[in-house]
Amino acid sequence: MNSQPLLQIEDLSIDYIIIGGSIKAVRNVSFNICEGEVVCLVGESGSGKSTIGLAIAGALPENAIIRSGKIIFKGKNLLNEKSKNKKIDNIMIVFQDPAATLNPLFTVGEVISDVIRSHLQIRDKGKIREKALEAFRMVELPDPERIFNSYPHELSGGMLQRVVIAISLSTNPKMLIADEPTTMLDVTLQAQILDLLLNLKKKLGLSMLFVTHNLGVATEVGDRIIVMYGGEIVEEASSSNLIDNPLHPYTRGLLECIPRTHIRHSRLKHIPGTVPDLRNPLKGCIFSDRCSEVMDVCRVVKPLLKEYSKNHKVACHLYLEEER
Amino acid sequence: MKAELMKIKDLKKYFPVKTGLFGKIVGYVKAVDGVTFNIGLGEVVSLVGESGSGKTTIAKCLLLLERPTYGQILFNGNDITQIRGKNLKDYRRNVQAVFQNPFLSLDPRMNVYDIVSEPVKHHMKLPKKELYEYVSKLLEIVGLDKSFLDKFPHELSGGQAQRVAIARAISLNPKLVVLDEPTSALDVSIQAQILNLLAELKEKMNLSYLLITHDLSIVRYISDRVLVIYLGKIMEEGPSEHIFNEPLHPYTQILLSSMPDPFTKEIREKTILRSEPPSPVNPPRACRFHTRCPYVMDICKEEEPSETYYRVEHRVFCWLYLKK
Repeated sequence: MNSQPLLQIEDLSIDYIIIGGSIKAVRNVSFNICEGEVVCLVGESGSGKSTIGLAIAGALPENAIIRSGKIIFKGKNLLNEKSKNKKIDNIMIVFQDPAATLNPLFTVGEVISDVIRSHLQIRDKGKIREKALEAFRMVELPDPERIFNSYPHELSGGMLQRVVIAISLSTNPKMLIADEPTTMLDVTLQAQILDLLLNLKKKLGLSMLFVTHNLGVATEVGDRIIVMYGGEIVEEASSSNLIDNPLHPYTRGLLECIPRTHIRHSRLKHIPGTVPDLRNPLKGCIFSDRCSEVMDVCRVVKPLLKEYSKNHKVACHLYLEEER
Repeated sequence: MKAELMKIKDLKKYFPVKTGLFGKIVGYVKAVDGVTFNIGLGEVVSLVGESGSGKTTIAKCLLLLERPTYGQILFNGNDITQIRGKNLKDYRRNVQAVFQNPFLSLDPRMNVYDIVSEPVKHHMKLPKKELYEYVSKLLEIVGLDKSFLDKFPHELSGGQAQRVAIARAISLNPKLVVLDEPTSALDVSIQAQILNLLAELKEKMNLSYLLITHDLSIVRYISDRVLVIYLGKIMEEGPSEHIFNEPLHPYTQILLSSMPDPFTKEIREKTILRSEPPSPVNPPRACRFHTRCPYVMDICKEEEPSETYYRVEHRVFCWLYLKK
């Protein structure tokens, strides 16, 4: 990559404490996001993709413990004691369900004013309002004045998601974390929101971490895709590389699961088994019990994420052997 | 041509909008407003449209969970919209459903055996031992072994729970199964397993499906015929291949271009709708899509387009195809 990484994640491990043990939700994850780049985290439920997003935004639930690792944003480790309690104006997060994000008792205008007041230290009411309307215009909301005075229940799902994005952008962030922002929406609205996010990226030079389970969406918005499974990164590549030349058996399996035209009415391939139990993750490769190409070494030694070709990393013994 | 199983003629379902203390009726939500189509024996028909288009209401009318306001539903030649008592019980035996979230559609206080055996007990008088055999056989058909019989829904994974829901739906050898978003709550790799199972059962038992989903790749994979619905009316109907390869109605074209697909190489010319669907309480006059249509003409705002057969079995409601 040519530009300096804006965000570096190094060796991040996160556990959730539950009754009778802990879930090792994220294990030894490292990756970078450069300025103006959109990185997609793709995986099934329980793969740890949302946990990483929450950790970066500093919004982990109380029972989560960061075991190890660094989250370095613009050269500063966000996990240091000093910076821990500081407000992070530069990273904002957008969640899946906009209706659950907004307090139903406040108008949308009150919410966004509150955010602008506390983050940007603006006291003047007129200025705050001006800033809010500007944010609404940026996300192409029609009739911003009316929306400013609306309650969440008066707006539709697509409009609410735009409002939430506007609130995030009102503090001029450098980076946006989008956690399944289109999963609740219809395809037509999904296309609108994706289009909006890509426009914003171009206009504002915004970096984005886009968390999704949908590979179609990921290839549409992502410059780079990181595939996660059971709390680990199994493959990382540029969008086109990943689709044209998927290396890891899990990635290949995921792509084959998607119904396509020319194989209509034939059996879909599927990945047998279910997602792993993360209370006691497997010793070797985390995917070894579902993998069709499993070897003896896979069950004992954990494969590390290694560069396979330019812009393409994979954690699989199949490709480590080729090197030897 | 396949033999007809169901004929739906001019189906309408209006929900009253009430206000005030005495529930004065101030208007109607025209959820389904004059829909005519057939379902053949052993055929998979898909309903496609945005949320609020009335696709679930159509399904509810077919299941007689809602009585239609107007219109006929002919099942094997008999109108079923007004049936009660024994006839209704017989009808229920033939038409079953699988819903989106198995954890909501399965009673959490019943174990798998009770869940699957309940409809069998109700409709067929079987001795205890035979009933047990029958239920174990059903579980085997959907790919679960006997150890699942004593489990409760919370002990099952999403995919397993959906299999139980399917076992219950097919327990009485129905003719038609309504699938309302059957895989939306599942992960991609599990989704493929369930789709394979559904395709298999259809072949084995000569089932007809009415599939409702917003995921167009599933529609293309499994369905024989597609109905595109917008604000309670049919916009286009045709065989799957025609709808996906040569969509006629502008709304269908937009829906298809909004679908994210990881495998399309060329940057598609995307038509993105700029607005949100209008309210079904006050739908636009004449052609309902004219407020969002990119090809809108004067006549579209004045008169409703009638049915045009573009080719055999492929009909569209649009002025673009009406030669006048």
